[in-house]
Amino acid sequence: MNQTVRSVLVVDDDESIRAIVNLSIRTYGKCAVTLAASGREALELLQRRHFDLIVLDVMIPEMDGPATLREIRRQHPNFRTPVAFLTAKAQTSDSASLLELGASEVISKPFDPRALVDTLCRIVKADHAES
Amino acid sequence: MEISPCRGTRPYGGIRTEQENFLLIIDLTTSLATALVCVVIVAHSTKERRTSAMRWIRAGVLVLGLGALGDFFALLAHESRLSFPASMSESILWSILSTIGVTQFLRGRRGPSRTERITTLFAALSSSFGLVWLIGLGTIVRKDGVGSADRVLSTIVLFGIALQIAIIVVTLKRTEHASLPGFSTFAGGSLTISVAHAMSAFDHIGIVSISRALTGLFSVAGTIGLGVSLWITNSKRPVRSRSFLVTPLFYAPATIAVVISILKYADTVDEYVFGLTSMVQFAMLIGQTTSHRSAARRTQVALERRVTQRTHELQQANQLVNRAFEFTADGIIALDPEKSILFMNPASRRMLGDTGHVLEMIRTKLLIGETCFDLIDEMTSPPGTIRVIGARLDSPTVSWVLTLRDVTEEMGLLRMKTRMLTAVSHEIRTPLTSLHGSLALLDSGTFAVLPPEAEKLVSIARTSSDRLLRLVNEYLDFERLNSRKPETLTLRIDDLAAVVEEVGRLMGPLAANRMIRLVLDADRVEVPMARDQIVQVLSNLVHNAIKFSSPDCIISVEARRSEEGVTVSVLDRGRGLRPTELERIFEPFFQSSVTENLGGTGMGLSICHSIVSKHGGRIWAEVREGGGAAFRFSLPAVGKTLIDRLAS
Repeated sequence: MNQTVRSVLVVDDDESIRAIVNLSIRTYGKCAVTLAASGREALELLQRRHFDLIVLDVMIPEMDGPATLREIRRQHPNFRTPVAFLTAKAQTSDSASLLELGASEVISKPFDPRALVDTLCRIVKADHAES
Repeated sequence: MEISPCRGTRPYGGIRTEQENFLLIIDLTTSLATALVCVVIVAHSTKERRTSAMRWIRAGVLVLGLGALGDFFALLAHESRLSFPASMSESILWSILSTIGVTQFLRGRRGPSRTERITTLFAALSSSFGLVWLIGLGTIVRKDGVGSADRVLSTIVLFGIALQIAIIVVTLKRTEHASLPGFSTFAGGSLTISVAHAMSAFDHIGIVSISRALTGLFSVAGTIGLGVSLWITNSKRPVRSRSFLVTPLFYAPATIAVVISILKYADTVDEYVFGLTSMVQFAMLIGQTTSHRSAARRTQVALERRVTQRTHELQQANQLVNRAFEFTADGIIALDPEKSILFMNPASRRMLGDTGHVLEMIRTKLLIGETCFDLIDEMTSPPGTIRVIGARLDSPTVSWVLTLRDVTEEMGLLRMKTRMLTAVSHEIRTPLTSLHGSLALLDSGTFAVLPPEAEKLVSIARTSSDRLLRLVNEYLDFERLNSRKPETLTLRIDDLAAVVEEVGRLMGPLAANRMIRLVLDADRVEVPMARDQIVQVLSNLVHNAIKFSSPDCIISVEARRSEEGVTVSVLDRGRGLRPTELERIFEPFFQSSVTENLGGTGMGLSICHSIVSKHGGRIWAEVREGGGAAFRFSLPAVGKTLIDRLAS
């Protein structure tokens, strides 16, 4: 994907989506992908290690995407990793509230594998330039 | 020839009843008969020129005849208003004549007895009384109409009856001569008239009709009486009574007193003949009065019965309507022009509970021109949704009728339906994402080069999944744009040319696939817009144009500065449109007959319409000359919605 990105965390409850995102990033981004099926699982992973980018589904059971992000921020006060939301809701009002949470991008489903990876690259590049 | 005061009230004017028609015929007949009899009398009496009294009588009869003739024509012309002064002038004439006649009589050579002088004097007095009565009544009728005239008339008539009874009693006691029949005839006739007037005045039934009938009859009878008395006067028999002169003064020669007087006093053939004539006339008079009275009574009873029946029917209908209002599930409220509650049925009371602040809100809504709105939860009891539909009435008492309908359940169902469909659509998007992604990855050839057959199958699967996705997206857009609480539109000033370019980029591959050339030509116009949505509108229009065009066609996309702001056109040479469908094409789920079999949900253009409307613009379609269709939409330079927002 980029020299600065070595690992991506993908959080989605749907197994096939996880598989597609995994395949897309690996194919076009050439970097390691870790998968999590729930917000809780993602939190556990984040306790143990660092990721360069997080792709977070909005509608996941129990703890949804925004709630997960809020929890991450609570547990890691210095959290700076860029986050991209994946959502099946394509309404602008929803996107706006997600961006307010501090997400770098909102990607609506369904997405084109190549376009997805392009978007993720852009985020990382922008983030890198900022820091 | 009547002393009836009622001429002044145009009894025959306007629309006439059957009874009035009948009376008109009687009046016409009597007037004509009077005139004819007068002519006969004058012709007959010209032989006698000896006494000046006869000359006066002749002159009087001539005037009477002329008056009757005039009356006849006046009636014929329905100019009854003119008749009142005619009757009055006649009356004045006859008063003068009677005074002269009385003077002649009093100075007569044969000298009447004291009693005769007294009775004649009474007659003259009564004549004056009649005149005063006529003038007085005429004035009242003219001033106040018949109602108060009736009351005054009955008082005067009662007084007149008392006076005339006194006259009759005195006369019967004092007189010994044949002059008695003449005078008592007059007196009795007057009495009958008065009684008739009194009865009708008290009953308030057709005072006009009855008095006219009576006076008409008296005219005939009086004239016949005059003729008979003149015949007697002119005969070779000794003239015993010149007090017959009083007869023509009043047109009332019939009375029961005649019978008494004849039985008691008459001793000559003349007296018997005259008395008998009077009796016959009296009988006729009574008969006429009775028949008129009963006819009037019958009419009145029938009328009363009809009124009662109608009232009953109305009451029943009213009761039915009231019951319906009472038991209908819908609330009904009527407001007066001040928008206060005029009427409120139990259902509306149940729905609104405390009406104070609800009514205030309804007033405000009506004031700003909203005639259909929902009251939600806190406005209703129990909480729910009440739809209010206001209908404006052009009435001085009721200005608004409000219908209140409990739509809580409907709204609940609607919300559930929307939630369900939205949920389903969202659920579909997730598997679609997998499908779409998988196919894209497969199709990219990254993992393996597919054999041509497999490639073809993957391509078919991709097209189908795209189509399914578009359907779901369109539905979601449609639902969002038509939801009761639309999301607020955030407008930003943006360049239309950039939008056109973006759509060109998006649609380019599709057009290229179909060998269609997209020609973009856009002015740089900056207008306020929600860019994503305008891109959606233009993409939709271009997508349609591509879909309905055959290969090798050109599709032009133009954006031009216009008076309103900007007008964007998508012009194709495709299947075109039917002129009759131009309006309906933007309705939800409308399928043009031209494109019916080509798929599509019928939501695309409806979505475009919603989006453009929300921008304060408009969208329309045209049939292009030389084939094809033109779809255009305009956006205002300063968005209407923006102005609205600033205003609020």
